[in-house]
Amino acid sequence: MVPKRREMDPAIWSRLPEDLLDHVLSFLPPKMLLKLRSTCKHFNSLLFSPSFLSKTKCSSSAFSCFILLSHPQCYDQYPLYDSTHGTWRRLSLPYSLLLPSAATLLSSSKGLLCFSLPSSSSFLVCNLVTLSSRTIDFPTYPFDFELLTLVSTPSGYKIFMLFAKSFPNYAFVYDSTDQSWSKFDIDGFPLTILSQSSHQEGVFYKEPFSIVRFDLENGIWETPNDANDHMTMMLPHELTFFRLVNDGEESNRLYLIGGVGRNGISTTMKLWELGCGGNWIEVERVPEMMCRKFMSVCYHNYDHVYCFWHQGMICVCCYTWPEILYYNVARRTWHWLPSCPSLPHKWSCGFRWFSFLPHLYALV
Amino acid sequence: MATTSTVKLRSGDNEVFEVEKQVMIQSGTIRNMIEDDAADGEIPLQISSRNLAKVVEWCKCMQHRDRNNNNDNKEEEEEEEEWEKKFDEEVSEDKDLHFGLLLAANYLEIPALLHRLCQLAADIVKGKTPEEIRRTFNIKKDFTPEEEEAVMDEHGWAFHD
Repeated sequence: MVPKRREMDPAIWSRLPEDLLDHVLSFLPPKMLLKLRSTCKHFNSLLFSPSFLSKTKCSSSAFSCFILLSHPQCYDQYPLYDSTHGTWRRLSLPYSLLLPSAATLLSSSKGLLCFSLPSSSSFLVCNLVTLSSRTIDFPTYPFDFELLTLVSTPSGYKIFMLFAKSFPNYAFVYDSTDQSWSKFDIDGFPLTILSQSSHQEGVFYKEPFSIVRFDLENGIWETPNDANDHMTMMLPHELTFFRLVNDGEESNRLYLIGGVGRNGISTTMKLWELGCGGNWIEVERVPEMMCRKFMSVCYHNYDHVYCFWHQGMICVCCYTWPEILYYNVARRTWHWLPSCPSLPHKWSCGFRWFSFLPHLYALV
Repeated sequence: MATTSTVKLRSGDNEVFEVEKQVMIQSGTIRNMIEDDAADGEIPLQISSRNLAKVVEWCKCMQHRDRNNNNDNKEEEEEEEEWEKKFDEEVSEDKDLHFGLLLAANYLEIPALLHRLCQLAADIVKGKTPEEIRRTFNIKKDFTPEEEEAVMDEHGWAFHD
């Protein structure tokens, strides 16, 4: 049903008290609010007011979903690929309003981006929609961190990282709700922080053959609920390399993508999904031509390969190559995501991609 | 606690409404008065009889609905939905009523009614330009043209058009 366009008589509505008008505005979809921000300074300031944002009734994001590129030749720009509409955006992020120039993007979760600012020994978490940011000082100095992961939680966010080059190893967790750091022991040597799960506030990490979940809330390492205790995971045979990725959604599916071959040379690439019994079930094989291209792209140097989940897509990337190979899980199809048009013809390596879902109500 | 089960509300134009307390405790303002034993006489309200009648009608309907929430009476359920739909339409069509009820719901502290009325107002605001909004709510434009442009530029990237 198309709603009738109704007039609002200024003789009546101009008498509405400001707090009631704010209340009315809190029912508007975020996109509409953004379009109205040029009405007056007060409207614009509402978008930056945590107390107003916490009252808003519209939770839907209404923005496109983006894949964000961080590349040394895109000088302080972060080109955006709009995966909802399948195009590269010409306009860039207003990030210069928030960031000093030597910032490095480390992690992204929902509407928030986390940068490191080495010159000031701090991290910066920002929401580019509301143009709000928070600077977080390193917990110790010097601070050698690894595998930093930003995790959105219902009440805010946490930042998980490993404190490397120490013995024993530690994990550090920053909690946005009380703005505090906590330190946790690590039993073992995690190789990869997988990704977060949206509802559990958890982070997975993997040891050579097992997957352990870190409960961010309580700081406890545990095996996932659906897995057997101390599950030793049988990896598929003849793997030349593998990466893990999870869908970060309610279903919390865990995928493994890897090359199969001998002597460190992959002849095929396959995708597996973790079954209930802890076994890997083959889902798909990467089509031969795509597999060949990907192998020539990374010269069989699999250290450069990494994976992330983005809106139903499993993205397989290589630091040295400007295109992303992705698998559309629902359609069961493989594609190449086109390279960024603003990239110079002679590009260098250093392609780092992030899933970016702008959100008005992601508070820093 | 007062012994009577009803409360008397006097509208701004001196019409008295006698309503069950059970119905009116949906209003935070009146609930407080009842709890403070200040609701024995008539409660004078700066609300017109027309608007007050509508508020009372709404409260009755909601209370009726809450009481019947547990039994599965399809017919009554449909009747209530019909009533709410009619209420929405009536309010949306009648600006004076809409505005008056908004103020009344705010004053009487009836969150659910306020919520509903704000939602309806937001539905009308939706799709209006900043200029129309300024005219409607008598808001002074306090941005310079340069500031306005800068504010719009900040989010250009977010929109696909």
